[in-house]
Amino acid sequence: MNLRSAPIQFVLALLYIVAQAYLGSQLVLFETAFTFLHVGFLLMLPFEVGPIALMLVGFFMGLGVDVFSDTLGIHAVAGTVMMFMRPGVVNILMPQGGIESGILPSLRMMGLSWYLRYALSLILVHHLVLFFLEAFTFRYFLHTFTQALASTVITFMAVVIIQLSFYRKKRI
Amino acid sequence: MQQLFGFIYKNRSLFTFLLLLSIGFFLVFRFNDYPGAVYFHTSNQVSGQIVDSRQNLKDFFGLRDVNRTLADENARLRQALLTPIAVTAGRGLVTSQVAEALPGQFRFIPAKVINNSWNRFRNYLTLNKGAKDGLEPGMAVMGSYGIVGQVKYVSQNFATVVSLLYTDWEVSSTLASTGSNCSVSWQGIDPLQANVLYLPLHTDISVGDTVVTSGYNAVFPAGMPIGTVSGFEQTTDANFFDVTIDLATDFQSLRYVYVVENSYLPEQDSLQQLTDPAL
Repeated sequence: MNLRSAPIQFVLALLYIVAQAYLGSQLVLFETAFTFLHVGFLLMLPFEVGPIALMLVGFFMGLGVDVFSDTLGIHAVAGTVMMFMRPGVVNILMPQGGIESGILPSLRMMGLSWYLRYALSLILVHHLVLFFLEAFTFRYFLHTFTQALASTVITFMAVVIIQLSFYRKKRI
Repeated sequence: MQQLFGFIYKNRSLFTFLLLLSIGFFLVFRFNDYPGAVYFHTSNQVSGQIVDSRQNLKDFFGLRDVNRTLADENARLRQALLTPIAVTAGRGLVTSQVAEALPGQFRFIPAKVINNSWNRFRNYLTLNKGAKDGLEPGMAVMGSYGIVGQVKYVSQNFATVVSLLYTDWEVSSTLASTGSNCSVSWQGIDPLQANVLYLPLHTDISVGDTVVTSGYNAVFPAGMPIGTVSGFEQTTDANFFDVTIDLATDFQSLRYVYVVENSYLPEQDSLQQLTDPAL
């Protein structure tokens, strides 16, 4: 399976959306921490994908998730913002000597410390946009902010678990 | 012109971002009332099937509670059959004001809740009944204990319902003990409680009073339970009480609901239209 071919990515995206509808949306801890599995797909897109394609994928993936959660447009906006930030975050975290070709932004390939900074910052951006757009008020700022933070932790753990269980160890 | 195109091309990813962002914001804030919106909700065929199968899986683990609720409700209804009038008190399905309805005015269509949320600021439910079962947008939805929401979108087999747990939505209601009109509005966060607005300070209110639908907006039949007063206070500078109620419906364990069809609604609407064309 070559993760670089577009049809495979498309099927994978659909799988992630269904997984989010079926499983992710049901994983809510203490009414505060929500799980958004599909963010894992957006984080895992190859480095070579250009900024415009990233944003389009983020938008349409979000739209797909929106359909299942009756939150029309909210996930689409969050996905777009997250993917808009991704090239910048990758740039800031660029290791010395650049990134070899044929490498994916995954935990195994980039190492724990790199991946923690990369994934946590992008998931946090995604969740902050998501929860504040959903609330659309700062009246419950602390509540909304706590939800975003707690969900970031849970989503990160879910993304890592999926990566370690379903993605192959060797390079693709 | 050349320069303009050059500028746009140079900043194309920024422009794509702004374009996608504005489409997204349009979807969030403006798209809900367009007819096409029906395809982007859980009531559409594909996502309806998926949430339906998810619920079937979950049903495996919750059937005992469902049975208990339905048996409870049966018991209450049997009681109501035996005692024709004195069933108005407490959390009952039937109250005195429903009896004022015209014969055959309301038809109850049972439906199963296949998707439900209560932890967001705007919550929706999905039902496994749709247009082919006679559901239409605008119909009222109620549970065993009280009102649940209003149908927003329908497809052939599924319906999306705006939950009572939807901030900015005010339900026209009445304090049952005094008949004072007020509005019930959910403030977000706590799925067990809501607030009552516009209850004037001279109202004789006490903890435990029932708040029911007023029937004025023709969505809900009059007298459907919404909740019971759990606390009220008088703030110095306001004209109204700050009232909180415990909601009659437990949204977290809601499995079966009834969609209420008001067969006189078109007649009532057209009459009101005659007297006040602005409505």
